This record gives sequence, C-alpha cells and structure tokens, in this order.
Amino acid sequence: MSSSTDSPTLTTETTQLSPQPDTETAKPTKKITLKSSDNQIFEVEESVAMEFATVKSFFEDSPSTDTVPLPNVTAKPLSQVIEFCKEQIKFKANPDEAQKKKYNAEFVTEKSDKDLVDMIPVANYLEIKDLLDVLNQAVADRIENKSVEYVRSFFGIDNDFTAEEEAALRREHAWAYEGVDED
Amino acid sequence: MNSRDGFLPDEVVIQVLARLPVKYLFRAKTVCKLWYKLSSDKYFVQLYNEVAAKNSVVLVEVSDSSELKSSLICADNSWGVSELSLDFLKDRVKVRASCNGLLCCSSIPDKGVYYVCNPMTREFRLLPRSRERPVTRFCPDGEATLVGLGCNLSVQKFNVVLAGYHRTFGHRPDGTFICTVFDSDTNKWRKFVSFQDDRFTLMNRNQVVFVHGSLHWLTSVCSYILSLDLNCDVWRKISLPDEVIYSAGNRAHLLELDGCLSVIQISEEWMKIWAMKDYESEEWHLEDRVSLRCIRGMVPGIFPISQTREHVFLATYKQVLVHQRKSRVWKELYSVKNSSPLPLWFSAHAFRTSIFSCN
Repeated sequence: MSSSTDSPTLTTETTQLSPQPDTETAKPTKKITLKSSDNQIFEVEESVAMEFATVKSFFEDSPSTDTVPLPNVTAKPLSQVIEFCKEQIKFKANPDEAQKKKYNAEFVTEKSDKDLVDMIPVANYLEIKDLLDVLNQAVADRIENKSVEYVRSFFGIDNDFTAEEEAALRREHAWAYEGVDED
Repeated sequence: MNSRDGFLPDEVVIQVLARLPVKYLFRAKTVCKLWYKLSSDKYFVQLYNEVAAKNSVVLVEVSDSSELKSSLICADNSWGVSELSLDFLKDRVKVRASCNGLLCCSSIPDKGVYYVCNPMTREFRLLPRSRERPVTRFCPDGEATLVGLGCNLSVQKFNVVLAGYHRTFGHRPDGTFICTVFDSDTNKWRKFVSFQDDRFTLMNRNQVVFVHGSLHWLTSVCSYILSLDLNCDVWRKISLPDEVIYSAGNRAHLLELDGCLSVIQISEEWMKIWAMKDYESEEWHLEDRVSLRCIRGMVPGIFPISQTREHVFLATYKQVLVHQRKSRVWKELYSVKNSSPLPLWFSAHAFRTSIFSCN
C-alpha cells in the first residue's frame, strides 16, 4: 500500500479575516446603573446592559430612568454575569468562534458548583440566552456520570422512592448505572 | 420538585437534564419521582430531541478482518468517539437505515428479519414478518434494494420501507417495483406495486433522507432524486440542480441539512453544498462552496455522510473527517488502525441522539 494515498496528511486552512482598522469610537459611551437586591450598584456600559433582554425591555418601557432595580438578583452572580457579557460584546465586534469557545469554557471551569448554580436563575431572569446555554451545559457536564446520590445532593433533592422502588428502577435500566465516576 | 432551599426553578432543571447524554438521563430517573416522570413527559421529550438534534454524529460499522464481529463507532465533533453496542438485540445485525435517533437493522443469519431500535435507550421492536415475503422475490439476492426508515418525532411514529424489483423464479426482473411499508401505529405492512426502472449504487442506497414526510434516494445516474411520499404511497422524481446534472466528472451525494433536502456535489477542487429550502417549489440554493485543496490527495475517496449548519462529516477508507464550515478547518475525528476489509464509507450513516421510543 502506498503511503501517499493511504494516509495523506491533513493540512488546515484558515481564512484570514481582513485586518480590522482600529476604529475605537471616541464618543463617550452611555452608562447604565443596575442595582442588585443587596443594594450594590453596578455601572455598566449601555451595550452590555442591552445584552440583558429584561433590562432592555425595561428601558423600552421607561426610557427616562437611569437606575434599574433587580430585586431577584444578588451582587456576586450579577458581577459574574456582567463579566461574561462584556467579553461576549468583544466577540460580537470581532467574531472568532475558537476564541469564544475557549473563553466560554474557561469561564465555567474556574467557577465553583455554587457559583454556576447561582448564576443560572440570574441568567434566566435577565434572559441572556447564550449564557444560559453555556451554564446549563456546564452543570450537565458536572453531574454527568455521577452517582444518583451525588446528583441529589448537588440539586438539594430528597429521595422520595422507597428502597424497594429504587432497587426496581436500578434493575430496569441496569446498564445506565455502569461505570460511575467517583464523587 | 423539592425546592427546599428554593435553589433552582423547575424550568432550569429541565434545561440541564435536556443536555445530559441518554445514559445519565436514565440514571437520573432514580433521583426522585418528579425526575422519573419527566423523562417521558411530552414537552421534555421534545425539548431533549431539539437540543440533541444540534449534535449530529457519524455512525460507522467497523468489522474486523474475520468479518464475524463488527462494532458501531459513533464519531461526533464535541463528544469525540464512542462505541455503541447493539448487543441488546441478541442477534447479529447490519444497520440498514438511520433516522432521527432510530436505526433499522436487518438480521444477518435470518434473512427477512428486521428490527427498529433506539441504540441510546436500548429499546427495540422486532418487526412482524411481511406475509408477502415467500411470494415476493426481490432482485438481486432476494434482498430489498432499498431499505428506508422514516421517523416522525412530533407524532412519535415511524415507517420502514422495503422496496425492490420483483423477479419471478427463473425470470429476469421485468420492471415491477414492489414496495412494502411498515407502519408503527398499526404494526402492519402494506404493499403496493409500481413500474419503474431506477438504478442505485451502494452509496445511493445507504443515503436515504427523510424530510417532509417523504423518503428520498438519489439514483445512480445522478440526474434525479426518487422520493416516496409515505402519506399517499406515491413515488415521484425530483430534479437535481442543473449544475450537478450537467457537470461532467462530478459526484453527488444526498444528505439532510436542517430538515431540508441537500445535495453535496464533489468535483476535483470543490465541494458544493446545495439545499432545497422550499420543498414545494423544488428550487435549489447553493449554500456553500468548500475548497478541497487541503485534502487534495484524498478527494476521490471521500464521501459526505452527515452535516449540520456548522459541520460536514465525511468518511474515507479508514478515516472520518469533519469540515468546520465557518473556520474552514479540516480535522480527523476517527481512524481505524488495523486494516479492515471494507472501507468505512461502505457502512456509514448519519445519526443523531433522540429519546424516541420505538415501542
């Protein structure tokens, strides 16, 4: 067998994006103030705030306000959500799928379970679809291949099956319990 | 749901569970009664199938040199390569068609025995033997020329189609095309006969596409697509793009693209992706044109198997490749190490995960 047809080398070809001229607009960007439920104030650029569908529609309804109260949102997850959205805006201006994927992956890896789970209701309330996708997938990845007991404690759920019922369920789909990761 | 510490709203939990691979979803059934019921809830099933549909994979049957044992390899852009087992069928089978998470398999030792299974949930259905079988002799070899599977996720039903030329014992086939259709709701076969003269290559036969309630096959002369409308049992012809018909030396392959019929045209230098966005008007639209320069040496032996908006998956003799359309990057997903008697593209199918129950 000749090696030239049998195992051709794969080369990668990347289309180079046309270099973007540095057109950082000099005009001052409008700031919007967000107020968390624990009364912390966040000043963010308008473009970032508009990533939050909830905030956006708040402004459409009452354009004259300058502070948006967020009664369901505490400061810590909010600051993390803002951090995420700031980065996403950079990717919008300069699309780079690989870099975006890398950033999104790093963003969730460095967070604790609690941080992730705390951010989900915030992303949900603010209707940030991209972030919600990233977070849901990240949580799914963390509970994947874990024991049932681990998943229960992760979500704070009580077992409402009797021991017999649970044993019967485990027999029904025994293959699904093979190869559990350590908690 | 027990929301003792008010910690995640139910709709969020549903979104997380919809992203779990099937195995872990089934394991999660034991978490609590609500989660147990959830996995068969109609809304959840729909959501799960939608999320999973974004992840298209290539399924290849790899047989070892003795050809006695074969395994199914699932190659996928985000989860990598995994092995899929059909051992739960307790039979030696060959995958004949794949549609929306279900596989139609034929038994190797028992001719005429067909299964439809969901390899992810390990549910399967043994199809009743069609009563026509002893009377009908499909040509050649008594095997149906076309095996198709149409699986409608929204109404949870599927059809299996076996079609081929009829041959009376001792005679040449006379153009009588026999078609038997299995309906999962009635658990019965129906039969109808037509007269036609279409030819199919092996690759044409493997690449059956189910969209708009019809099954589609490309014919070997590459001038039209043969379609079977499963609602009214009518065969008809659909034209290919002019450029595909009239360019000499090009190959064409039939795939699905986001619920649309799609044709991949391969010439020496280009791979063109055509899609029929509006099924009624039968107008073709050129979706993309991909340079084959970086895989030049391989072009004669590449076969597109499956695609999404972002990726095209192709099989060669020993490799599964993926092309990322946005970044224009080619990558190898999988390769067989030892020499296999059959090329990978010979038994490669597009596949996606679903929790469709075939019972």
